[in-house]
Amino acid sequence: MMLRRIARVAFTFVVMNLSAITGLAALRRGREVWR
Amino acid sequence: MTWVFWLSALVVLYVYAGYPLLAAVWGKTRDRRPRKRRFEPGSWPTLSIIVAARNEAARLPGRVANLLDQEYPGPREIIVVSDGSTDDPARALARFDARVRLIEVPSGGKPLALNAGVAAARGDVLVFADARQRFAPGALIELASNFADPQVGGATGELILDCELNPAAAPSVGDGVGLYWKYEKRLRRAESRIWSTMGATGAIYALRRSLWQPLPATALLDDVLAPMRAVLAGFRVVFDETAVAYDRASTDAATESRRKTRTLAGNYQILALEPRLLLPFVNPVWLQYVSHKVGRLVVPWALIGLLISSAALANDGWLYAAALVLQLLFYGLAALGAWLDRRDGQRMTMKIKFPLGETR
Repeated sequence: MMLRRIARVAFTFVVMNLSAITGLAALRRGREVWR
Repeated sequence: MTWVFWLSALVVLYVYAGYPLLAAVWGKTRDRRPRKRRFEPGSWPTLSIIVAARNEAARLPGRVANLLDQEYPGPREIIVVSDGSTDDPARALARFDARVRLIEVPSGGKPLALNAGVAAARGDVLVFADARQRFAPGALIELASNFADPQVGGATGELILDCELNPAAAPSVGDGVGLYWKYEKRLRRAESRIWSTMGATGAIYALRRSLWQPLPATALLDDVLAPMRAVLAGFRVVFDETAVAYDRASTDAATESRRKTRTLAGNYQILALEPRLLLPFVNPVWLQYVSHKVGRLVVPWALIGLLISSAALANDGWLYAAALVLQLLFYGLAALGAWLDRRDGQRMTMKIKFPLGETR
């Protein structure tokens, strides 16, 4: 149970950090990310 | 390569552990909570509650009823701005009295809808809310009471996610989001005590109308840009945990990823819209802003640097090798989390009871 929880938190952390990179890429491409 | 390793490790540790610890200690030793108090009868500020919505006709009656049911001793108006809705919001709001106004604007995005709402507002204090969430009883009184302190330019309430109330029922990603959100709120609480939070929660925040500046049409984060402009003007934005709103967390990783992409893209964009935030003698919360908001933008690159440099230096010493193993373990766990999310997403139907009724 504990391992599952840690795995979920680790996954969220990775998603969060990947989003910072995809967010910058989206801005640079001028893609609409606010709708 | 050694300096890449140590610099990256330092950045990650400082942003996620060092700065929160510093803020907690700073907030305790220099606790400057706002001089919040109830106004005298008859002197409560007029509230203009602004709800920007697009195709939310199904939710609007419940949302407006929730705002009208709020106990508040002063006058209030509710301005619903329909951003090019095609689902007849006028019919959805027809049963409400003159305190509720509907403004229909062509579809131009949330920032322009908010600008239209504020332009029509007559209140001293603007309260921003979304169609989906619900305010807990007393939220308006608590938010407004902060404005008894003349240094307060804005106040943000506490958004409680369903996964915080019931972690066992939350899907995989919701579990992590709930934990992250709790961590984030702890940091906001400390920053609020030091001087000001680094933004607000879009679902529940209030701002003096005199501090509002129209938002650019492309602004991604109105709830960071507008409060930070108030901070740059010398006011503080405080976090008030007694003003509560409820919402749902994202139910799957793809939705959460889109939401975070928008948030982090917005954090980059704000630096372009308000570069003054990066100037230490102009931004009164420069250290907090750089450590919190800019730090979150730098950490992903530091994580990449840390992984590459650990791999390159693994043969040069046990410390680098251990760092590499730990990181690989961590990313392995994240992969397991991704698998759990996919599996749970396929077989899970969420049934979560809200304290104030369903929001969707």
